[in-house]
Order: sequence, then C-alpha cells, then structure tokens
Amino acid sequence: MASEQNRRDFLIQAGAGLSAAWLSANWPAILSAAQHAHKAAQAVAPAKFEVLTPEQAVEIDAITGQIIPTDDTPGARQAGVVYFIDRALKTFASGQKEAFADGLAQVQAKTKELFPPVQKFSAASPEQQIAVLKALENTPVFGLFRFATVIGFFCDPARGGNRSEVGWKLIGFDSSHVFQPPFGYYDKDYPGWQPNPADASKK
Amino acid sequence: MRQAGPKFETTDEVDFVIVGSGAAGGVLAKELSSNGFRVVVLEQGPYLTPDQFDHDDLHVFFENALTNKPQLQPTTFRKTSQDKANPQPAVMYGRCVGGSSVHFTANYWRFHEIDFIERSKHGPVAGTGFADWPIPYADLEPYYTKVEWEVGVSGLAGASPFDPPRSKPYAYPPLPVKSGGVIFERAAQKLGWHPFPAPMAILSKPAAGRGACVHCGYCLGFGCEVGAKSSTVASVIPIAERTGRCEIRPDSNVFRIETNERGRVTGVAYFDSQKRQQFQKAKVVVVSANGAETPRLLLLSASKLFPNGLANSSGLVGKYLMPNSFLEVFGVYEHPLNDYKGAAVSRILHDFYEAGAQNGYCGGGGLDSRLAVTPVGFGLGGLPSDAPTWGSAYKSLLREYFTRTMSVSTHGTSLPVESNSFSRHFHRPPRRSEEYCLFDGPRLGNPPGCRCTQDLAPTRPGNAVFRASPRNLPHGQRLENVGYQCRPSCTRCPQSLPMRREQFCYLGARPADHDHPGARLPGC
Repeated sequence: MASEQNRRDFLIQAGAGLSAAWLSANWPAILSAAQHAHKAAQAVAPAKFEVLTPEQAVEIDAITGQIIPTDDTPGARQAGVVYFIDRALKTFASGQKEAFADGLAQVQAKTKELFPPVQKFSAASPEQQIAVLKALENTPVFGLFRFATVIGFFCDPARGGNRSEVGWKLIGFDSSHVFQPPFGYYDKDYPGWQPNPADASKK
Repeated sequence: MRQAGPKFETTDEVDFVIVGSGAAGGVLAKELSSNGFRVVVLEQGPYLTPDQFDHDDLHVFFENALTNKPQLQPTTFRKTSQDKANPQPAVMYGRCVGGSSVHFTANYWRFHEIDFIERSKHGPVAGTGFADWPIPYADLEPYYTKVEWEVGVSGLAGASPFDPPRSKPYAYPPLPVKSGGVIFERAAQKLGWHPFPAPMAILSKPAAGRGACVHCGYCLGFGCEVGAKSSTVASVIPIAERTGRCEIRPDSNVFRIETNERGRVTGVAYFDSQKRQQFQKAKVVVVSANGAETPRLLLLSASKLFPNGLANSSGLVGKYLMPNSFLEVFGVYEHPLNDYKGAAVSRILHDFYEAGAQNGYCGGGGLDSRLAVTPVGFGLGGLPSDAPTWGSAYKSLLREYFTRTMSVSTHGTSLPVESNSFSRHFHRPPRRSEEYCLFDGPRLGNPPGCRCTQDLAPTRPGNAVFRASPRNLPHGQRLENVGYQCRPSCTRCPQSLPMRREQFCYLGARPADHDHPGARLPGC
C-alpha cells in the first residue's frame, strides 16, 4: 500500500509528545483516525474544469475571491474554491448547474447596471466588485455563491476545495483528529472535578 | 470488522423480525438472540463499518450519508391544520445499521424519578395530554444500569445531587473536561449551581475490542471511526451476530406488517437492496423504527380488521409527539478554548430539571456546556447574526472566534400536544414504499438556536434560563447574574441546515460574574 509510509509519518507526528503507554493503549484507534486523516490530506487538483466554461470559471473565481478575499492570509482563490464548485456541479450538486448559470447572469446584469460599460464582474475593479455584491447581498443568488464559497473554503480537502488546508489553518483548526487534553487555555490547570464548595461550607 | 451473522430464508418463520436497528432495535436484537430466539433485523439503510465513517461534512450533512434522504423519502410539513402542507424536510434520523445511535451526540443521562410521576405531582396542564408513566423510575433502574454497562457509558456517579438513585457507578470514568466546561463549571458553582461531568455514551477507555475516544470532536452527525461512541452497531449488534441466531439485513425498506384473518401478524413486506419486493415470515414483529417511521409503518399496515392501522384502536398513533427543545447561546473568550475538540458536552447541570408551577411553567431541563462544530458549520453559521457574512471583516472574525467560542445549551422536552403529530398525506400517489407524509403541528426537533415556542404548548424551562424576560428566570436569578444575554428574536427558521444558529449571545455579560477577566463583551 503506497500510503503506508505516509500513514506511519502521520502516526509519528500524531504521537509526538504522547506517552508510550497512551500510544499503545490507543493504537487501534489512532491507526483508524490516521487512515482518515491521510485520506483527507490528499488534495485533488483537477487539471481542467469539467462543468464550468473558462469564462464562467473566471467570473466565479472573482466572486468567490471577494466573498473570502485574499489579504494577509489566503482566501477562496488559494483554497481552489472555483475548482470545488466545478466538481460539486459535476457530482453531488449536479442539479444546481442552472442555478449557478442564472446566478452568474444576475451578477453580470448588476455589474452592467451599476458600472456601465463594464460587462463582466471579473473585469470590474475590486471596489466595484464589492459594490456589486453589496447590492446583491440579500438576494438568493448571493446566498448561493456565499454558501458554496464557505463550504469550498472549509471542506475536507479531498473534495477539491480547502487546498493545503488553507481554510483550516486560517481559523486554527487542527486536522490531526487525535487529541489529548488539555485542549485549550482554560482547561490547562484544571484540578479535577470537585463538588460545589458552597455546599461543603453549608454542612 | 463486521461480524457475519447467519442468513435466514424469507420463507423461514423466524421468532422475531425487528424493524430498525437503532438504540431500541439493536439492544432487542442482542437480548433476544442471546436468549435463544432466532431474529432478523431489517434496516432500511446500509451496513457501514467504522472504516467507512469519515469527517467529511459534505458526505454527512449534504449527501445524507448516515441519515434519511429527503429527496427519496419526501415529507411535507405544516404548522397548523389550517396551513397548506408543503414538501419540506421535516425529520432527520439515522439511516444505517445502528440507526440514530450512530450519529447522535452521545449525551446519556438518565431520566429522573420526577419524569415518571410529573403529572400526579404537578397536576394537569391545559391543552396537553400530560400523563404519568405507567411504571416508576425504580422499575427501570436495573435496566438503565444494564444498558450503561453493556453499551459503555462514561460518567461520575454521585457527582450530581439531583441524579436519581443508581445501583452501580458508571462503567467508565468521565471524559476529560474541555475549556468551555471549565468556564461553565466555575461560573455555575459561583451561582450556587451543581455542574457535573456529563454522562456520555463514549468510551473513555478502550474495551471489548473498541477504541477509547481520541477526542477528534466529530460526534454530532458523524459515525465514530474508532468505535468509541456507544452506538448499537459498535456495541450490542456484534454480540447479537456472534450468537449465530441474529441476521442483520441492511438495505431493507419495510412498508407493511401483514396480519392474518385472526388478527395475528405473519411477517413483514419490504423492498430489498435491488428494490424487489420480499416478505419475511415471523412469529413476532417488533417495530422500533423511530418516532416518525414507527407510526408511519403502523398506519401503512391498515387492513380490513384494522382499518385505522395497527395498534391504533385509540386513534393516537402518530400523535402527541414530544420533540426535543433546544436553545444554544454562545460565548467568545480571550484565549483559545479549542472546544471543537473532544466529545460535544463535558459539563452539565440539572439544577432546573424539576421546576414547578411557581416558575410559570411545568417540567424542567438541563443546561450544558457544549460545542460540536466543524469548520464548515462555523463558517456558515458560527458568527453572531449581526456579524459580517463575507469579505475581509468576516474572515478576520472567523479567525478570531473559531477557537475562542463556546456554547451553553439547554435541553428539555416539550409537553405532549395532540397536534404535534404525524399522518399520511395523500396529495400525491405513493411511490412504492415512499410516501408523502404530513407533520401537522410545530416542527419536530427545533434546530439549534431556533425556537418557535409560542407555537408550542408550555415548554420545559431549561430554555427559560435564557429567556430575555426576567420573570421567566428560575429561582429569582436575574439575567445579569446568570451571565447570559440573549437576543430572543427568531428571524428565520433554518430549513435544512443542522448547524445554522440564529441566536448569538455572549457569556460573561459582566466579567465580574465569572472567574475569567478575559471574557469579552462585544455587542451586548
């Protein structure tokens, strides 16, 4: 199995800092979680679009790039959200092709209306793009693009979005899937459960 | 990993056919087969093994990998009988071997003694069918203990002064506390309340070939890859199969229980994985197919002798459904909590479990500290409802809030109201065994954060702790003292997303009420 080596690497990483006793007691569990984590880490980069036309892809890339923009950290573009959408339309969201095509038409119409003679959303300036999306913010079409963008940004990388886990890294989500307490700041020095001290003093 | 059980011919009259392999059906399968009976369990969903479970939101929440599929099993819904019933997903349940015990959050506290005698203690409640149980808690206690030890429940006996008597401690020590649990525990103790380690049906230690919890955080909605969550498919179903007397038959969609001229059951008709009609002969049929599918199957089994469906001489099949009420409020703290890790709930309290009429409502509920959210779920609905939903500001809030958010949830139940019901719906012709159904009454199982209590009869007041109106607060607590502030408006009812929340509140409205000076106060 080609992935065996990777899985071992993962296990070594996952096991760093854990006691040998804990590791051996939980070995079957970790193996299983590791298999998952390995699968999830395999980001798939499609060579070309399967559903979207190149023109549609450029437009969607621009729209999703405003919904989760690239600033000091990666955004929808780096996450490959447009590729995620293409793959979704090919697979589990195949029923939504028309909705996306209609949505694009509405975004382009709004662009033309607000900023003639600009014909395409992707050709508008960043400020103009933001203004167009603001104008559409409360419409179903915006909801559709936002929904797809957020999912594509944060999904399991095996789905074609969230490339290199940029979404997860942004928010501090640790994808190793095997953890040991303490989990966070406030449980670090937890002394263990005690009954309510107020009750003890009453007695 | 699957233990292969025996195969029975459909023409072989087995002792029991069990419809549904969830929390009830799985346990029955084990008990009956262990006691010498020959059993066939028919499960409409697939037989998934732990290596087929994953952490893919799309698979689980959008492709309904573990749950009923609204597009194949359409339902309609209406709030009152005057409304038009519109096609709409109205129920969600586990649709795989193990049923909803596969994807549930794994909260596993027992009912209290009061639950069984509430009606006689507090009197009738107008507009409801409020009633005592026919048996008291003491009759059930030995079985609670048996189940806790057989499926595997982690907890700390005696930690809650409100817990009912128990004959044995929990089978496993409690799961580790999370940061949110620590904050919750300190704040609640300061208020004189009694938080305790949440009883969870998740193994805190490896046992019986099952792994211990690895704290991945993917409990709610997901199957457990390490077998730590005590679903029936991880715990009792393998035992049933090993007896050699129990066949689990997946992908089998039961649509009718047949009866003979004497009114006795003869077996069940179902569609197999190839959509071929089959008939399994059986001496006894057990219907354990959840609150929606059980009444549906009984109603679908109407015959000349039973024109209103089976077991329905009372006319009450499918009525008086009691959905779980649920409200969640959120807090954001200075330092990372990482509450996305670990089992959903780590601390809980039952100080308001039993509440009498002096509080203005009947019944009670629990409060717990929980977070069960994935990055996708948080991105879609984890921020306050007035936060930006896109652009750089949205992005930076996500970055700041994801690891710093915790929630406090209430869990109660609503009282039994006749119109909270399920019935068959004839607006369209049946498609094989799939039919349109009607939920007449308030929606079943309010999604997190969305409450439509004004449509329900008196609700249990676990919720009320968070109500904006001080008169509804228990024990004279004022909102400020409780430390929660809440925007009570429910502007949208999420239809299909299990993780969208409409109410966002801030724990630590006054930092002085908490041990954590870092508790922040945006908004309120």
